[in-house]
Amino acid sequence: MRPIVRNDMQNDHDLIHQYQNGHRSAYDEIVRRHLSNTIGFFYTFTGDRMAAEDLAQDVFLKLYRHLKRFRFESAFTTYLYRINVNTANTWLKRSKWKALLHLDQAPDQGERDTELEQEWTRKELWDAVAKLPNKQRTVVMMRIAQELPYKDIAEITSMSEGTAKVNFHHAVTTLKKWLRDD
Amino acid sequence: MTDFEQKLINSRLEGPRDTNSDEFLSRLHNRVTESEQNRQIITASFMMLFVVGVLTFTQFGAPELEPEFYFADEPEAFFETDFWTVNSDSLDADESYTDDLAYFLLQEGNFWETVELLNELELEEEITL
Repeated sequence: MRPIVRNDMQNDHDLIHQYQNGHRSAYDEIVRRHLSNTIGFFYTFTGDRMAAEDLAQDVFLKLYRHLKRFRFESAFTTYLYRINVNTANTWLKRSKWKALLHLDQAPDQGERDTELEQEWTRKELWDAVAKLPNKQRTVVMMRIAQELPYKDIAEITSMSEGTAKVNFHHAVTTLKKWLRDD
Repeated sequence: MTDFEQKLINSRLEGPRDTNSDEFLSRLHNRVTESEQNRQIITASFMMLFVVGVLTFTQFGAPELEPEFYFADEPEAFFETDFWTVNSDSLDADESYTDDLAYFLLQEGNFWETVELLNELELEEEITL
């Protein structure tokens, strides 16, 4: 489980202050700090290291553009998770359209997890997640890919903890039906 | 937590731990530079378009062309005139034209011709009456 790390908040904020004052090396330090978590988040549903790194690049590029306007009202990690989730949502929607239009050059069958003896593959799971409504998809991504507690999910998505739980429950029910998991 | 929820969470992949952060940062810096250059090009293009638009709209620097001759600026008056059925010379009915002609003759010193012209005009008026 990776909860939002609040001990680093002060340090992150210090680094952002430095970056806002023109120290570009502070930005590099922020990237180094959060690189592993960010790539890990994307790797869960892409299953492809290069794709995960490309998405992480997109995230840090967005961060570079917007960090100068960061207002220090929340933990930096919350802010970063929001960017991660938005980027992931865009990727999932795009991949859904690609799948619909058969634009995938080499269809990836996904890795069948023999240890878990699952009937569905990782690709099937994330294809199904892509079809979920926006809120449900966001909650599922954070629960599965990051194992975030509902409290943190609620903070990141600006919804109540109860709403996050309900959305996750609905999403799981739908996924179970779609993946025909008994 | 149900079995299915647990399966979902267990399907999570551990991210690669051996990512080379220096290489990643180097690629990221290139993308940042590229993005800034693109932004500058887009901003400059919009500025150019704006300036050209303003110059076109205000016609800044265009010479003011004074017309060197006068013409009827209402083409309807010309096109709607049926020249085949016009019986009278419009110049005859134009009082200012005859006045101008009389002044011209006077200025030229043709006094008697002026008198003759005015007499003719008077005579014409009497005939028409």
